[in-house]
Amino acid sequence: MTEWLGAIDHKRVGILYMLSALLFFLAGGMEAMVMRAQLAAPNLKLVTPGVYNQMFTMHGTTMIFLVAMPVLTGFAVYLIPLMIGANETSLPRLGALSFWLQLFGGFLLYISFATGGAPNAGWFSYAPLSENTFSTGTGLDYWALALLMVTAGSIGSAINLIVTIATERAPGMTMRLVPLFVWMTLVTSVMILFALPALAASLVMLLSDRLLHAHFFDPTQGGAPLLWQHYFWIFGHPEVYIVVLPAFGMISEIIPVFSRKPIFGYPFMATSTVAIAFLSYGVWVHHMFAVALGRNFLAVFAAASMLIGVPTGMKIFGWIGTMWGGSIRFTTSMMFAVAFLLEFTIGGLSGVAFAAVPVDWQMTDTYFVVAHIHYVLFGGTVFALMSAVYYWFPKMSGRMMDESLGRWNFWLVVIGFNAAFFVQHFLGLMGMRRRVYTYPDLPGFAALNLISTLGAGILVFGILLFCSNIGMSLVFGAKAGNDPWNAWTLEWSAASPPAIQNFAEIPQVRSRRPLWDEKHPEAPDWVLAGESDA
Amino acid sequence: MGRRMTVRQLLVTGWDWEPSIIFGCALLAMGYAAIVRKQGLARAPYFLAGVFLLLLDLVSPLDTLGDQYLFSAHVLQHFFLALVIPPLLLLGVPRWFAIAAMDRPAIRKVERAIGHPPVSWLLGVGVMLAWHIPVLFNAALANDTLHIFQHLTFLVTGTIFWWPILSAVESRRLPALGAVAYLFSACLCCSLLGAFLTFAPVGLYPAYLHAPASGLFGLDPQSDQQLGGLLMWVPGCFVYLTGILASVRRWYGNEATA
Amino acid sequence: MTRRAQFGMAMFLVSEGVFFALLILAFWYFRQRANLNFAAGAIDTGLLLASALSVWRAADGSRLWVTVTMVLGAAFLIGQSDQYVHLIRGGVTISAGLFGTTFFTLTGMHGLQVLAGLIALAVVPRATIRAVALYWQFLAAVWVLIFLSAYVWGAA
Repeated sequence: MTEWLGAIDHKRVGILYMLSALLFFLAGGMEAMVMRAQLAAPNLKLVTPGVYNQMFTMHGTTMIFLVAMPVLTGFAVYLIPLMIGANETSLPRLGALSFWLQLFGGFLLYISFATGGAPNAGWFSYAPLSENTFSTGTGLDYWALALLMVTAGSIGSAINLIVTIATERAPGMTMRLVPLFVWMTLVTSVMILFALPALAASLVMLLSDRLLHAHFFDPTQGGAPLLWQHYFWIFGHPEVYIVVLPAFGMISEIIPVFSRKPIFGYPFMATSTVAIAFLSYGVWVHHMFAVALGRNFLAVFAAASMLIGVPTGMKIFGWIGTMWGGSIRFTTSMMFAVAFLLEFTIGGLSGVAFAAVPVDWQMTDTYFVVAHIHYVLFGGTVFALMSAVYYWFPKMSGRMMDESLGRWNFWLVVIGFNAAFFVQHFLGLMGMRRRVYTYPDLPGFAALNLISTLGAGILVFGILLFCSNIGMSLVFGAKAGNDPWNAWTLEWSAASPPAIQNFAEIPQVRSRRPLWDEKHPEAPDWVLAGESDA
Repeated sequence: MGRRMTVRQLLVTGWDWEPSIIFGCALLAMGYAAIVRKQGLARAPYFLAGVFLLLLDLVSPLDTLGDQYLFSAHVLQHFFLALVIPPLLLLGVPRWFAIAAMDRPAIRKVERAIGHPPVSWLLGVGVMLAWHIPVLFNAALANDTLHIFQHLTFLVTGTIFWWPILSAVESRRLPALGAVAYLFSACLCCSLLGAFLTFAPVGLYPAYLHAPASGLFGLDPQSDQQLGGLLMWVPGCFVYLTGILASVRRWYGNEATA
Repeated sequence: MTRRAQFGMAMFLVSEGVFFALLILAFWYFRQRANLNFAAGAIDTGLLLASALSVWRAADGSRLWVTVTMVLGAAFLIGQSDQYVHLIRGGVTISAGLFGTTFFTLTGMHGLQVLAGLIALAVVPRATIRAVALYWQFLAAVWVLIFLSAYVWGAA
C-alpha cells in the first residue's frame, strides 16, 4: 500500500489515475441516477430543487474534471513510454505530483457536501449566479479551489507528457513514425497548456470576487458577467476536444489491429488532429449565441463552428477506410470501437446542428444539448475507454478479460445508453429545459423521460458488469502473453504486465509498426514506405 | 444621414478604374507571361489569379466602399492585399526562375537579409499592426499618396512575410515546426489586433462616423467597426491556419499508406 | 536532466503566458485609471529588471548571483507591498472599485509568483537553477507589461 502512495513509476501512476477516475465515475454516476430518478415522472418531489442543482453541478464537474481528464491522462502516462520504447517519463516526480493534486482537488470538491452544500451553479458556474450575492454558501468556493488544484495537476501532467514524447523516443522513431495515440496525446497536451490557464484565470477572478469582494463579474459595480462567459469558454471549448482527442488516439490504435490493416491515411489523421486543435480555439462564442452579442459575432463564429466538423469527419472516414477490406475480428474491444464510430457521429451531427444560429436559439439549454454532449462524451470518450480497457487490460494485468461477460457488458451499455439519451433529442426539440428539477405533465414528456430513466438503469447495470469483469478477470482471468492481439506497436513487446524497467533493451524503430517489421522480416513496413524518414 | 445608395447602384457606379493600377497589373501579368512562356505555364493560374484579385481588390466597388463608407470593407481589402494575393503570387513563381534569380549575388544578399524568418515576420506583422494605429490609418484615409503607399507596403511586406513559407526554393522554406511557430505567432498578433478592434469603442477611425451614406448592408458605425475587427480575427486566423496545416501535411510527405 | 527541466519550464511558461495574458486583457478591458506612484513603480521595475540580469549570471549556479537576485527580488516585493499599503490607506482596495479589482488581482498574482520564485531560488539544487532563471526572467517580462499597462497607460 505504501508502495503505491510513494509511487513514481509511470505504470503505477497511470493505474492510480485510472482507479481514481473509476471511483469518481461511480460517484458521478450516482449523481446522475438521483437526477434520472427525480425525472422519471412529472412533478416528482424525490429531491428538492436545491439538491437537484447540486446533483447536476457535481455530476458535470466530476465527469469532466475527475473522470474524463484523469483517466485519459492515466492511459497516456501508462502507455506512452511503452509505445515510444522508453523506460520512464521525463519528469516522473512531476507526473506523480500531478496525480495527487488532481486527487486532492477531487476530495476538496466532495468535502463540500459535508460543509454546507456542494456547488450548485452548474459545471460552468455563470456569473452573476456564481457571485456572493446569489450563491451565499461555501460550495462555489470549494468548486473554484478544487478546480484550481485539478488545473495545476492537468498542466503538470501535460508538461511531463510533452517533454517525454519530445525527448525519450526510441532510436529511429521520428515524430512522423509515432503511434497515433502518442501524436494525439501530444497535441492534446499542447492544447492543455493553452486552454487550462484560461480556466485558472477565470477561477482566480471568481475567487477574487467571492472571497475578496472584487467586482470582475458584478454588474452592479461595473463588472462584466460576459467576461466570465468568454474566458470560461475560451477554456471550455478546447476542453471538450481535450477529452476526446486521446480517445480518438485509442481508437486509431485499436481499429487497425482488429481489422488486420494499418490505419488508413496516417498523414490525414495526424494533420486533422492539428486542425482540430487550432480550430477549437476559434469557436468558443458558439456557447454564447443566445447572449445578444450582435449579428457579426454570430455570423463569424457560426461559420467557424461549421468548419470544425470537417477534420473530425476526416477521421471518421479514416477509421471506416481502415476497416474497409480488412479482416475484422469482433472482440469486445472492437465492438466498443465500432459502436464509438456510430455514437460519436450522431453526437457530432447534433453538434453541427447547433452551429446554425437559429437552431441554437431554439435549443440551447434544452435536453437537445444534453443529448448531444452525452453522445460525444459517453458514446464517444467512454465507449472508446471501454474499448481501450478491454484492449490494454491484458498488458496492464497479465490477464485477459472475460469475453462473454464482455458481450453482456457491451449490449447492456449500448442499449441502456441509447435508450437513456436518444429520446432526449426529442425532449429537447419539444422544449424540455435542462437543469430544472422537474417538468409539467406535457404530452410525451412523461413517457420519454421514463424511457430515459429506465435506459439509465440498464446502463448502470452494464457498467456494474464492466466493473465486475475487471475485478473478476484480475483474479480469475486467463493468463495473457505479451501480445495477445497480434498487434504492432512497441508496448506489446514488453511483458504483461511490464517489469519495472519496461525494456531490457531499447528497440530500434524503422516504421510505424515496429512489431510488424519484427514478425514479418520478409515484408517490413519500412521497405514499402520507400524513403527513410529523417 | 446622407443620401442612401442601393447595393445595385454601388455595384454599377462604384468602380474606380485608376490608370496606374490597371497599368501596374497589366505589367505584372504580361511580364510574367513573357518570362514563363517558354518553360511552361504550370504555375500560371496561381500568379494570374493573384494579379486578377489584385486588380479587383483595388478597382472594384470594394475599394470605394472601404475608402468612404465602411471600415469592414476596408479591412476586407487589406485582408486580400496582405494575406491572399501574396501567397498566390508566390505560389506562381516557377522554381527554375527563383533558383536562377538566387544565383545572382545581389539578389541572394537581399534574400538573406529580408527573407530571414525573424525579419520577414517582423516586417509582415509589424506593418500590419502599425497601419492600424489610428493616427496612421486616418492619415492614409485622408491622403491619397499615403494611401497608395499603404497598399504597396501591405502587398510588399505581405509577400516578404509569406516567403519563408511558400518560397519556390525549398531550401529557403522553414521546416515544419518552425513554420507552425512562425504562422501561429503571427496569427496570435492578428487575432489580438482583431479582438481589440472588435471590442473597442466606436470612433477609432472617425472618417467612418461621417460617411456619405450610412446603414449600408445594415451596418451602423459600431457594428461596422466590430465586423472589421471580427474579419481580421477569425477569417484572418483561418488563412494562417491553412498555412499551418499545409506545412504539417507537407511534412508527412506523399506516402503510400504504410 | 537540466535540459529536461528547462524544456519543462518552457512549457510551463507557455501556460503562464496565457494566464497572465488573460488577466492583463481583463485589466485593459475595464480600462480603469488611478493615481499610482509612478516613481515608486519605476524603481520597482528597475529592481526587477536588474534581478533578471543577475539571475542570468546565476544560471551557472553561482551562489553569489543567486543571492543578489534574491535580494533584488525581495526589494521588489517590499516596494510593491509598500505601494499596496499606500493605496489601501488611500481607499483604493480590491473591493472599492474596478481599478482595485483588476490591479490588485493582476499584481497580486504576479507578486505571489515572484515570491514562489524567491523560494525556488533558495531551495532548488544547482542543476535546475537555469530552469528557475527562465521562470524569473519570464516574470520580469510580464512585469514590464503590467507596468506599462497600469502605471503608464493607466495613469489618471
